[in-house]
Amino acid sequence: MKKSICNIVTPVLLGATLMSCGGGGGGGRGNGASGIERQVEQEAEGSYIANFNVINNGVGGAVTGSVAITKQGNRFLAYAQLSGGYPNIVHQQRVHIGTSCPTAADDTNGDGYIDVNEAFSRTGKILFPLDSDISSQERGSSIWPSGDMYGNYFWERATAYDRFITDLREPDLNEENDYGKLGVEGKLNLDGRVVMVHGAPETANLPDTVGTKGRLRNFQTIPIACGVIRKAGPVPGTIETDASLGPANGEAQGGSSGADDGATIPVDGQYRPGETTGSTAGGETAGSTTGSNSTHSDDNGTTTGDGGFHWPWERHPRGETSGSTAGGATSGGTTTGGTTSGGTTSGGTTSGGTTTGGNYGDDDDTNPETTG
Amino acid sequence: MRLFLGMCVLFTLPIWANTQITTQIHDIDHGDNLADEVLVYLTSGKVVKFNVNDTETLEKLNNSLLMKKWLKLDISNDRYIESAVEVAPVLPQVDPEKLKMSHEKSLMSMDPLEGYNASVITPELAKQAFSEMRHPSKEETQCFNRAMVWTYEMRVKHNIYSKKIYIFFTRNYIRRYNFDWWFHVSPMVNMIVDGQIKERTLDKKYSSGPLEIQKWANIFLSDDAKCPYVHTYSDHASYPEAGSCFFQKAPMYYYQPVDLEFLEKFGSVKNRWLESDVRAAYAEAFEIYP
Repeated sequence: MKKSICNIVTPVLLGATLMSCGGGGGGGRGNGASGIERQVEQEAEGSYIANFNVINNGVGGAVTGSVAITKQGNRFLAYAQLSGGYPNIVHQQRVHIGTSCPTAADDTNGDGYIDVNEAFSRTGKILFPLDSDISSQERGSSIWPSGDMYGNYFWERATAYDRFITDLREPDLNEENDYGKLGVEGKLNLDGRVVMVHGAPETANLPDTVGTKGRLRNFQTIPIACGVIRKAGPVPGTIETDASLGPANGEAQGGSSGADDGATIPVDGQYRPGETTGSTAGGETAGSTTGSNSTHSDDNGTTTGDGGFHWPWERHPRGETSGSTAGGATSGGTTTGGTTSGGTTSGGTTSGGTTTGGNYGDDDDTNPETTG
Repeated sequence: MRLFLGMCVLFTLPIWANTQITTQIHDIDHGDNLADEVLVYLTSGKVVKFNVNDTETLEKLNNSLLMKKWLKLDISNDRYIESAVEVAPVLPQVDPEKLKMSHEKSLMSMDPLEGYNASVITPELAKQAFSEMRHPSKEETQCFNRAMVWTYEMRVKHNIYSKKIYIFFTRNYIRRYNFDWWFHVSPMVNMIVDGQIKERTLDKKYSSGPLEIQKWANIFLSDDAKCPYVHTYSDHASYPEAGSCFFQKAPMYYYQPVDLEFLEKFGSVKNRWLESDVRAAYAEAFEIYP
């Protein structure tokens, strides 16, 4: 019964899951090296992430990053991001059959570096390279991502999963090379496999004891980062539905990120030097009344100006400016001249000009000092 | 008759007119197979398409991606890059050496809102600030430039310390809906609503007043997805296929998504206005050159 169901269901679900009714052994041929154990079947559907850890003492930079692999139906996508590397360095990156990253213990010649050959003895053969064509182990093998001028890169490729897995299940015609196959019924079993990134600048000046592969030089192949792939947990982040940040306590408040964030008013034809037309309407402004291109306000509640336009990066002498506060409330600050109409002014100093209507009060609810 | 046909062509020419945009390349999505369209993510936020057979232009795009070169792109109405010309940088490049130094000092991921004290304003002030927001001088302007100018002027006119909310669309969503943006950003304020402090967007291009965040997002989402809020750039960059979208919030000083990325990767905090950001924003979005 189970087998007949499988005959019907498996072809339908093949694109969506790797769960086979026929059971099956672990994937991967392995190479007999330590740390290579693939005994557990896993579904491939879903997302997997490997976060990088630096190896070889940051010879390639204090890199951070990750590889994310996603299988959705017949879509197979791989993403890699790395930052903190050196500019314009080509980085080979591969998923290996093995289950653990190299450590200092794998530095078999004791030269202080884990070269690519020593690393491979830990990570096992390459399962699939993250190069320009992930549909095949062999195609795209010479084209790798390269760090930008900041030493960062973001790489991504996608392919059809059936094409990808077919290539991995083909017979291994060259058992001497660095690539391993899964076998005819081998499982991808991404969870637990290892991703390794290579490539350091030539200026790393690696000793000759650091081995390499093929015709590449040792700084081009030295591993710089490694991570173990894990099935991705819940997507980070929280869903909020118009969450409250807290009670308002009945008052609006001016925020402050610190002293002088360099804000001033741009010239746009609406403001003339020496004239303040800024206003506070409704709500409250704590600290300052701002206006005109000639004013500058800081978080201490002073409106200053000297009659000329200034961008934030320019220093200008403090002064006072005339202005108006209409409605709303102004707490603290200084308004000289101008007009204050309506609203509430508490504390601060108003000099000259006209004050009409509204409520005025300082701490003891008496009118503020008005001079003029 | 000939005159009539000529007039028809003349008046319909703008329909076929290409768009020109000066930008850098954020990323290139090569797609599933050779038949898939190659999507090019511009730092402006747009997602455009590209014909892989044009190897010369592909090289320019790759070069721009690696070397952060600026390109002037000619984009057809159906969002294909038709030509790319390298141009002088519009914004000054951050010195990679300076970034490297700060990176070595701090590798901790950081929430950009950490330590930022945003204003709490009344609905009346929010509506007033919204009404005073400048209208862009042309149809096609960059969202991050509009948001920069709007938040800057809220700060200087009303002393409002506002925030920005970024919505990042996943690759999954972009391909599924052939969507033409990979992010959008809007000013956001803390507003008093029924005695509680709640966040409201002030996006003058797409709404008529303060909006709840999810309602604002629904303007752009075809599937009304609920976007998770994340605190760091990598929280969504590492999940390009998960769901449809992510939200990230930041103080008003943050400009483009690269600022969020650099905060996490290099510890570069933005806690004041940057001249080049403000100048560029005024110039591009409102054609103001003080």
